[in-house]
Amino acid sequence: MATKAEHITALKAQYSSLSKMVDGVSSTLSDSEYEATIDDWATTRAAEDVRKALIESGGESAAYVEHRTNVHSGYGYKSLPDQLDQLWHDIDEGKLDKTGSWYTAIKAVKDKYTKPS
Amino acid sequence: MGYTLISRQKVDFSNTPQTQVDFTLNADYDEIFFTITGFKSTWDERSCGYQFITSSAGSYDRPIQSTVWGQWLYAYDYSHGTTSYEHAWDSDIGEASSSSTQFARVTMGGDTHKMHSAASGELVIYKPQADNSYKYFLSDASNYNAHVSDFQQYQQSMRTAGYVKDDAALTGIRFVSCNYAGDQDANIAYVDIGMYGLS
Repeated sequence: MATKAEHITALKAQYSSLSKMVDGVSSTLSDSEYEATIDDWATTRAAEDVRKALIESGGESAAYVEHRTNVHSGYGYKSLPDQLDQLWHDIDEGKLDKTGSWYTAIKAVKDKYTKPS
Repeated sequence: MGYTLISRQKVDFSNTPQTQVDFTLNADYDEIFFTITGFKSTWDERSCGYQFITSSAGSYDRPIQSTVWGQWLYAYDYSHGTTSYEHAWDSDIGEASSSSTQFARVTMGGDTHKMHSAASGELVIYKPQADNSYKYFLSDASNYNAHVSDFQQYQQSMRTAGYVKDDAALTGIRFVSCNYAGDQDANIAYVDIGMYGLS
């Protein structure tokens, strides 16, 4: 997780100058515009780092439903086909109980992204 | 009489990426129609966002109220999201004129690592020149993204209705690359925007 200052350094290394397009004409940002833009972008990215760290670490969060169900994040429930496959294997192996792969995977997500009290 | 092309601006991969694309709004038309084609950011999971300026405002920071309908489909395993909606920020004039400018989104975010990951759509603004009422808008856009590989695609749709809560006439619109919360933090790598007017 990078700090705002670290993001500023990285952004300035990536962009030595910035450009804008106004009514079809592209021009280079002035020094003050450049500094303000880099500062804004670094602020946003640092805040996003904090949010992503919260998602990865779990814990109590008002957004627990989104964290549990967003299959793109890689941290929540598996997709429905994958869950059905887990259930098939659990039944096939006689583990349709709290030791099965489906139950343990679901419980791990629920424990990680807890419902706020 | 149909729509008339007013102007077109294009940020191309062969040009320098742009922090913003600004259009001066033409006051001669009752409807302004934008076509937004092939939007790509220089940063992953970024949307095409927009904000307005008026003759009485110093910057692109007008209060915008909108409601969004969204849906996604992941082609890898045919999973999909339930129909969802966003209730966008409802900022008062004072908050909107602060330094924390937020942009309304016309598209959902996309990845940058595949050429076919891009967002396209439309935005219509009604009576932007009105100086005694709020200005309403509609947008409809989709993006098609690569996820991990060429064979793991997902598609996201987004329809928005809302209004700019400002009585003053809109004199300009700015398009940027922003995150899910409407905060700008990257360049536009590619977009082709046409502005059309209907009298």
